[in-house]
Amino acid sequence: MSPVLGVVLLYLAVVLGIGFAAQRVLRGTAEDYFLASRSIGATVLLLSIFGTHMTAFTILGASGEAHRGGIAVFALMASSSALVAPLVFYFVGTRLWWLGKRLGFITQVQFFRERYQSDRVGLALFLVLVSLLVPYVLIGVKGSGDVLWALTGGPAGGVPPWVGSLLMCGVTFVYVVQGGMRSTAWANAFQTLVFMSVGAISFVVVVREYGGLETAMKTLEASRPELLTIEKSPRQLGRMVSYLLIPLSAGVFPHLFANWLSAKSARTFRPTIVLYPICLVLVWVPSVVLGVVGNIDFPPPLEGPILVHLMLRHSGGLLAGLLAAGVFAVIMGSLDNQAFAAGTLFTQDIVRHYGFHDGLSERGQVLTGRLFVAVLLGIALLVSLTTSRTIFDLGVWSLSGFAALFPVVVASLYWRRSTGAGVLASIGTVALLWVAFFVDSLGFRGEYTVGETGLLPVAFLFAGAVVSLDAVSLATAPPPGRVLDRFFPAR
Amino acid sequence: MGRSKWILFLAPGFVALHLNYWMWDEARLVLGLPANLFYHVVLSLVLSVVFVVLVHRAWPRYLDED
Repeated sequence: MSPVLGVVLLYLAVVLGIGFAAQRVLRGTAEDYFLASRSIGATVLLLSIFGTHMTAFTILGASGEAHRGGIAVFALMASSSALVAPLVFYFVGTRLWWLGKRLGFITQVQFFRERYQSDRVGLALFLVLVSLLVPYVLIGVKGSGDVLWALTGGPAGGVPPWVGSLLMCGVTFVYVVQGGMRSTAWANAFQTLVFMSVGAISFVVVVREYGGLETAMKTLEASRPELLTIEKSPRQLGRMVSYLLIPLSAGVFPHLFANWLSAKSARTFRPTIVLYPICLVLVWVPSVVLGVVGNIDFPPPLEGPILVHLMLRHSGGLLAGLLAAGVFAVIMGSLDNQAFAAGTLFTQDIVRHYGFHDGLSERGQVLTGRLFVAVLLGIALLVSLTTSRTIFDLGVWSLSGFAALFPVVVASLYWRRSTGAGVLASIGTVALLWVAFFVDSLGFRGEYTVGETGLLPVAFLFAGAVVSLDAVSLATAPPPGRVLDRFFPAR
Repeated sequence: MGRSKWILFLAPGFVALHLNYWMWDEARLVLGLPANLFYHVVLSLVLSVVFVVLVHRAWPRYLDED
């Protein structure tokens, strides 16, 4: 067995062990399975939220983008998240946690249905959230297969991509259904520590091979100076503004919502809010620097992820195995929560609400949740074998859709005058514009921006969501005071 | 929202600092990192300090009430 495969299997065994440990304390109630009885402490919450938020996109997509376009990707994706994501946790996460605990919500759809007293709002949101989750899940499933294939020899006898994807989906399924939210959170905490450590080790090993950071950068300065600056153009400014909207998606992700509601108390969020920018720096700087430095030996165009080429060139099989484990960790840290969140939404908001009129037994809820996790992972696995879009492309499209729903979330929490009709109009506008831009982008080579302005579709989706939400809410009757009193703190 | 309103006024300032257009073509290296990358790392660390103040000075009271 190759050292790469050995390290990966060892890592997967540890993750399964965590799943078994979590299963031993599972109480069998729906609240315990879906929300870990709202008992997750500050350290696990930080590591779990961070691990859930970071995807294959962070390690593979970002380093690949840095390899092609230089350091700008750090400002576009990481530093924008350092500014926006903690504010989302502060203004949206804590408030949703407070409402969830007071009113007993498990999913976003339940919250919206009650807040606007409308099944139609709940159903529309369910359809959009699940539709956006599937491509996001695909990023992980596809990334894991590709990386294991490349690190074990690629065209010269590497493990076929479908085997890597199947392995990851299988292990994720087992530990998610074993312990529910608790095993997912515990596994995420471990996975976050793994991919942070692997990023740091890879950074030190590769940069040392080039004679240190300054020497590596000076080598690049002589050959590819444009990679070390940010292109000064209105188009790039449009991109930078657009990318500031992307981290708002954190306020809409069903998988982050589940993490928030599992917190022990509101104060548990404090370390996450404060330390988030530092965690982003720790993970993204190695990823971006390695992507840029990769141009010294591997100028584009390049077949396969740049990190894989660097590790195979500059380290032995053991370190390549560690990289594979790190990639699996970052992917599984998101995939488990996404699959789990989709299972929770399906169980609570479709099967339990429509099929059993909110009367499904606790055991039935847990079983249905487990079944839907298997269905979603199976679909993602099959689709990942046929899709050809790059990881970065898939990520941005999914994130854009989530980010564009952020005005609806904010309105539900802070705007008493917002109405169910306004929310439906906003969700409909986002869905229509998203499909229109996606169809327009088909066949487009490189990054798609609207009318070559540099502005990404998310900017227009977001504006459309705000305008339709405001206009229709103000044109329809305000919600009754008795409903609002439940959802807004006393002044 | 109460005392947390001040962050809403600070946010545009941080957005302006994030869009550091004036130095995008700066090619200098600072501590081995390209100047723009170094700038955004420092900005992220400064934000962390701002958030320490935010969660200690402007923590909504209702969140801690049962």
